Amino acid sequence: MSVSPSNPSVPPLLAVNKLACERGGRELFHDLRFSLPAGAVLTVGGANGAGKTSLLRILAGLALPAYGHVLFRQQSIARNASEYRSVLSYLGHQPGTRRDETPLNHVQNRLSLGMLPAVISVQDALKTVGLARYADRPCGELSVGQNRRAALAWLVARQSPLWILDEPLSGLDVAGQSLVAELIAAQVGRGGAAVLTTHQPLDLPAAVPQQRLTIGEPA
Amino acid sequence: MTVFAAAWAVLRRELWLASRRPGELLQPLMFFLVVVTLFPLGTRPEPELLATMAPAVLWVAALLATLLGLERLFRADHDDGSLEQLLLSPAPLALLTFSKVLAHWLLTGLPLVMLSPMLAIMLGLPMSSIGTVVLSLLLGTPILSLLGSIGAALTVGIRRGGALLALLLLPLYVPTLILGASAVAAVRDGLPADGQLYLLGALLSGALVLAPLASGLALRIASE
Repeated sequence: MSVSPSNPSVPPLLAVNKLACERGGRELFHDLRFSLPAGAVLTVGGANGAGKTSLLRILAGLALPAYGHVLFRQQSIARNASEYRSVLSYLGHQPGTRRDETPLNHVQNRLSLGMLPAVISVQDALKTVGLARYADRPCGELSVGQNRRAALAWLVARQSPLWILDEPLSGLDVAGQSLVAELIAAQVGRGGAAVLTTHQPLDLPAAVPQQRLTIGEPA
Repeated sequence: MTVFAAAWAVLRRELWLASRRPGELLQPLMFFLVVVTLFPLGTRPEPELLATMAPAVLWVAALLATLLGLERLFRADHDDGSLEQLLLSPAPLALLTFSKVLAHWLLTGLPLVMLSPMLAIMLGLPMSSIGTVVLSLLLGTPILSLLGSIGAALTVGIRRGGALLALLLLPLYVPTLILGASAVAAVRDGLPADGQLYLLGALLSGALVLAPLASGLALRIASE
């Protein structure tokens, strides 16, 4: 397990200490630690089955760690769950779109659930991710990549301080992948932070402070 | 943006999604209609016999029809990842599950209640008992939806959990069934049914408060 060193004088936005995770009686990782300041990106690497998704679900508060705590602004996320959820945007494996709903409906509903006012209008967010022409088409008629773009539009409109993205590049074309890189760079530029897993290389500008964390045995 | 805006968004989404598939909407209603119609065909067509069975037939059919749509209550959300959005909302999960249950009742329970007078007449119940049929189902079907949401939440992670869901829920439905059917039977026999209806009301109040909390917790556990 390796983490590139970060400046200890800046208070971390998200930190974990001695985190352990078990799945089905098998230990996926233990003694995991990192501290991510605002305005930085943490890329989680590791082989298939190493526990990347499990880690992200623990960080989002969807699953509980076998040991250890996740601290957001130095407070346990379990204690301040509602507060934490209002600043977190989590994008899982599935985009979360329903066949019958349109990208416009999807983003609007998801924003209402998040209880954070949209910083950018839904229409503009859909334009940013290249779905302006498909805003009123059912998601079932759109491709996998376009469904993922609809979920990205929600990230764009919501602009919450912390993004947790599980494989944000999967299903996206080359233009979509550089769009994700741009969105993450903009997120960091605003002083936000992002945690993500990816198997494809993500072309972030060199100016973006990046940490890397590898879980499991190095392949 | 308030907590209630989030709950309203859940309700609106459910109703809107249901309106895209009117066929699925009609299934519990058709089921209710067909089951009630089948009973007279299976016995002697004597009005007295039908009226004797009517309360039980109406209530058991309503109960099974409610069960029909329950498996889907959280399943689609679980499969496409939108359940995670519910779980990660800062709004209280109990309120959001309440919205889901309310949508389920509006789409299955309420139509059953509205269809019930016609079926009560068809089964030879006296006109004087129609009001009690409607009232007992109006109080009882929300209980079925609310209790059902706990079972649906518990089985959300299980593939083909439909049979398990029925096994889990049918015993829990017994008190509601007894009270509802006996209210109708009492009025048919010319007795007051206030006691049964008050008890149904009490069950409903309890379920309204406790069931959304329980299904919220069950969802968190099942999706971990």
